[in-house]
Amino acid sequence: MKINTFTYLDRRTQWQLEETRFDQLNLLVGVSGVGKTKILQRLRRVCEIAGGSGEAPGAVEWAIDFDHEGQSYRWEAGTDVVKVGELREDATAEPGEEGESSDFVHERVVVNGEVLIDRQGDRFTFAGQPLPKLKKKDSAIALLENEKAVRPIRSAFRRVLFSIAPEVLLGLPFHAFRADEVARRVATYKALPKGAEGFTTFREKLTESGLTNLSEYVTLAVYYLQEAFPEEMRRLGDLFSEIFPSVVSLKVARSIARELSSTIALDLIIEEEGASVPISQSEMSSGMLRTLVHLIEISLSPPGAVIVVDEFENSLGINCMPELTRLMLSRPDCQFILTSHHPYVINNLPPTTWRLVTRKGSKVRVKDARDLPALQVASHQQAFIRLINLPEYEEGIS
Amino acid sequence: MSLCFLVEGDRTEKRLYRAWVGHVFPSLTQVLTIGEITSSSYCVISGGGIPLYKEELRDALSDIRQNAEVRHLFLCIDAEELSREDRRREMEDEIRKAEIESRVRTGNPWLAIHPIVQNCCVETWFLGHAKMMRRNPSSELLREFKGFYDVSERDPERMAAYRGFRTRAEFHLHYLKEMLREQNPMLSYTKKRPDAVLGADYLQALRHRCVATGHLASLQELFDTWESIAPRAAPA
Repeated sequence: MKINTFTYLDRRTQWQLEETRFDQLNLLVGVSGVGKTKILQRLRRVCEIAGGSGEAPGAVEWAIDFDHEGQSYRWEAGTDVVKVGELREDATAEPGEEGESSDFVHERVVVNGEVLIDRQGDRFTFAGQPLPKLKKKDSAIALLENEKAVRPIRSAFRRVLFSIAPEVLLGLPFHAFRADEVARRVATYKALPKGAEGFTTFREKLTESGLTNLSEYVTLAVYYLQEAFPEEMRRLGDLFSEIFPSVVSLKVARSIARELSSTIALDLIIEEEGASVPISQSEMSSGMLRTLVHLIEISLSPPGAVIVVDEFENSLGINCMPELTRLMLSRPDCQFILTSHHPYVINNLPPTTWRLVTRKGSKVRVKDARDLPALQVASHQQAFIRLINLPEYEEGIS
Repeated sequence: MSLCFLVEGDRTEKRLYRAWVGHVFPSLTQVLTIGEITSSSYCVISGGGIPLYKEELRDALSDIRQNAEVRHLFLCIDAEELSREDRRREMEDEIRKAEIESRVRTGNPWLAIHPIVQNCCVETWFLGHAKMMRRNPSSELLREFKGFYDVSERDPERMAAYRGFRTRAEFHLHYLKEMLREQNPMLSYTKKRPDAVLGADYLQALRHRCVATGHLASLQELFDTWESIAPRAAPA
């Protein structure tokens, strides 16, 4: 998947993101408070709605254009607030629900310029055919996910990976998994062809099952990698050792003490030079863990993934940034949407990747760095210095 | 005449020098980059609050090597906890190194580089407007500060940090905020919005203070330099 444009409006707060264009590599920059994180949060919400895992917020509009597997798509939608408790026409309120909910009031999916889904109030057509009334609470993409023409759309949104690195600052918690299910999956993954093709299929399957998008599954995903693709696991360990030279091995081990008879518990551990005891995932420093999670996410993302990272530099030492930045640049088959304030990150990603975020009241505009004349003048000054001296940056909030 | 200012601070100094150049050299046009400087323009480059002026100086001189129109570079740095003399020595050393590394003289032999020490910070200078200090402040905190050191009578550059403040610069900023708030509650001063002290009247009051008392020697040095490069353009 590649997201081309994204537009969003919250009618209640009037927060608005004007149509924003994305390239393969995008670094959202701008002064604090301008709304960079909010853009990512709204994008996440939209992706979750498409994946059927999130309820649409009330009174919002969005439009997203994207390409996936050679097709181009546009999804536009609008919702409205519904007071739960009021009797809905489609009676979809669950017993016990309180407060507010939201309904889709319009929705349209266009594939290669042709309308696939069109919903206006109660009127609903799919591929030109009218459909009976459907749940207003859910998106058409989630409702029709089993339709052949809709399946790739859902699959595209599953490829948008919102980095969990910010969540693991306090450690990676242990989780137990059903032992028979894990064994079955290990056997499936081991049966995949070896080499690049099999590894791509493996990564696609992991992504499709959501294993790389949730912190509770990270260790499990690396366990599958270790069992099914040991060469790739070694490569991951080598990448980690390049950043932390004291690390001699990285592996996932069973944590027997945490297991019940029917479950398996896993621990991501590292061995360090000169240390007699391996370091468990619960003991790893936050900088090491966050770096490792970034490496895992980038390594396990299949081609066509969109990797979204808020405040890329958080808890990363300057020793971690060069390798991680290089690793990102080595994946032109993935799209990256990052935010950062850090001079290293800004200096090392080409200015053509910068998207300068500005805000006037509640209206957010993202400017392409190529449209900023002052950046086109040749200079020996560091990119970061040139950025922060732009009037558009300086007056980011007005 | 063409000027370039390289400042370390985030927004304060950038806005300060733009405003003051506007008052002192009104014929100069502001441009955004060194490459755009012509014979009657100026630019202010900020380091964004990151104390890396040494690298920025080298990079700026490399740009100036390719633009012979730039005649004066002002490197404006806070003394902070160093003495004015020590900071100045450090800056002169860095200027010498950066001149060699950038080979600026090969492309711009006429450039004059002026190290300006803000002693200990620009807020120290702003404290020099004697009329901004009330005779009997109503704010208890300001009375306490004034009792410790009355900046309307004594040289603000020589004021130490009051108890509870880690650095002189931190105290000078706090003192300035209190002094301006007492004068006029609408005159709020923040590092990001220093508008209260950027007017021509405020600048004139500081010039008067320097001349009348000999205080704020580091600021006087800046005024002297400006007078030497454009004696008729500077206010009397």
